[in-house]
Amino acid sequence: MTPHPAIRVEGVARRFPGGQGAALDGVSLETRPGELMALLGPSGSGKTTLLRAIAGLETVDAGRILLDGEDATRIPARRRRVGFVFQNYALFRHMTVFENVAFGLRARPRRDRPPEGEIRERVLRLLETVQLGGYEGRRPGALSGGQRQRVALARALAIEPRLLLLDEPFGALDAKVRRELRRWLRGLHDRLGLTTVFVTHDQEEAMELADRVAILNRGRLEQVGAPAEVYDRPATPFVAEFLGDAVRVPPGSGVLPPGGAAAKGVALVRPRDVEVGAPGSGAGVPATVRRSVARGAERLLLLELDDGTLLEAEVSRGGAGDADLLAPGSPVRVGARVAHLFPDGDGGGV
Amino acid sequence: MSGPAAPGARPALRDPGPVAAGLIAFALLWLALFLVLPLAVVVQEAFARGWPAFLAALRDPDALAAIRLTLLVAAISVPVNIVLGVSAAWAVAKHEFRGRSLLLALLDLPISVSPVVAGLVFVLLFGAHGWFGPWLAERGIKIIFALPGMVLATVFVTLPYVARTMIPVMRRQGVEEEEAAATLGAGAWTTLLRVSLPNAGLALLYGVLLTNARAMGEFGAVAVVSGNIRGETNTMPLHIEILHNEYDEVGAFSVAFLLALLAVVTLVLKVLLERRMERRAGEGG
Repeated sequence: MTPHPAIRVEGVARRFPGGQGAALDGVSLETRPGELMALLGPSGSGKTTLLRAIAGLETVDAGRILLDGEDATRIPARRRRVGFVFQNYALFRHMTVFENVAFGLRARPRRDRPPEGEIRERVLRLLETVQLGGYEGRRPGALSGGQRQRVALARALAIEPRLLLLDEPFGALDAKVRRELRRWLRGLHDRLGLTTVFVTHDQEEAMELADRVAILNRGRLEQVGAPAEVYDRPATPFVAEFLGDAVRVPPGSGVLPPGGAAAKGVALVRPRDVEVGAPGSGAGVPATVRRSVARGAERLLLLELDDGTLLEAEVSRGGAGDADLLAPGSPVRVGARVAHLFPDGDGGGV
Repeated sequence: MSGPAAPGARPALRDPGPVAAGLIAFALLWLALFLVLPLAVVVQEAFARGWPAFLAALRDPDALAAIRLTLLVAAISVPVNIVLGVSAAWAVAKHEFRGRSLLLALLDLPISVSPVVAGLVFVLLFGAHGWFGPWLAERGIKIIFALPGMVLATVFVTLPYVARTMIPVMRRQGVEEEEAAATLGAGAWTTLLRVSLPNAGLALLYGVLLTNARAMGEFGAVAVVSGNIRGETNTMPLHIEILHNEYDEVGAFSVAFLLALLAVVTLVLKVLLERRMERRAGEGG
């Protein structure tokens, strides 16, 4: 029952000397107690800079950062009590796993430092929590990527942080370990109940793992919301294009669903929302298949409308006639089930 | 992650052509003539009249005093330069601040300035007629022609070695571990002593080795400030020169042999350290 959000970012701006444009350009954001939030965006969108600013590893040119309601903008990183897991883990290479995890406790001023027995007990308990019991004597060099990641997590948790920040937590891992660790991290978060923010450029990861997703682009916050919300109701053209690979179609195009056409602005259609039928069937407009790729359970089609617009469609593979109908050169009718319209044009996006 | 493959693993470089073979032969011959031969001469001359003469030369009170003084100067200069070097290296490698490149350039000064000039500067500052001379004389503090002056000159000449060996290693390691230490609540001291220094420990050791070798072997700067008082302000290199000028070849070469021995030990330790550093660099965090 904290009256204040763990993190409250108010109009934070940051420009790197010599950098092009602002890394952060007036970002405001607030976490909800105990939530798992993803900062999602392409590279260079400012997501890592924001995360580092919250931890105190980056200074800000303007704005404020409040932790538990307290202005932490000028508080040095070591006094913020924020757990931070680095992308490459940044484990202390010359220390054992045990010493790595114990570091934050031993670094405390003498009067706050727990006695040696308690440090030992807590470190071992944390290593159990991250499923690394028995590894305390190893050195980071002798661990796999996933194990290093969990050591980094245990080390960050040892200081009893008020919140946890993770920078691309799965970036350096291969696909299988990544999926396992993702599920495990979600479970751990639910058990600990610690407000957690992680940075990722992988939309699937953000959607699957987070309670809410904050989408950044060019140093600006485009939208914050639950995964379904940002996917179904993108607030800006950028969000629509970034989530679900939407493509632009002319705003007056007949592909758009009835009543969905507009005179001006930007209309975006996701490949998943494109319906493809035999010529002469149903609604939509005529088009020609230009390319057809079988991708697992789906077929990816590149379609050319009569006005020259190129459109991507993702349809399920299955029906016996499907391959014939969708061979390159064949005529079809296409229509979008859903389109996202932005009458005001680009806004801040793309 | 593994670093670049060892040269031996690269087939294109394994079989040297005639040009490479010629260069290698030339380099080896050159080293033999200019390094090994003089060393052999030192050994030969030192033992020209056998062990007893060699030992007698080293037991000479003036020789003993020179050895003692050399060790004392090194024993003071090396720790001083460890503190200076580590501070400078940490500041330059791990922090951004105004004047950083100036500090980096200043660190090279002792290497680019002739040691004799360095010695003269101290005479100018602390000598009887120097800037601080009268002030020091009033208080009876003797710097020039005494131990403090020799230590100062040695510290100056050997200043760059620790910092210069540590900076590249510390830079390559980046600042992520230091940042991690900060988020874990560690202050500057804890971070330096528990994270930065242990990571660069081998480089520090290497720098200490070079500093020590140079401190014991330094001639020019120390010669200017020492005043060559036999048995009092003579270090080993200065003592060797005096003996040599007095045609005491066995004596000169016996002390020289000790210095050369130190150089060889330094070299062996250096090679061992370099091997370990290469292996460490390959491991990564």
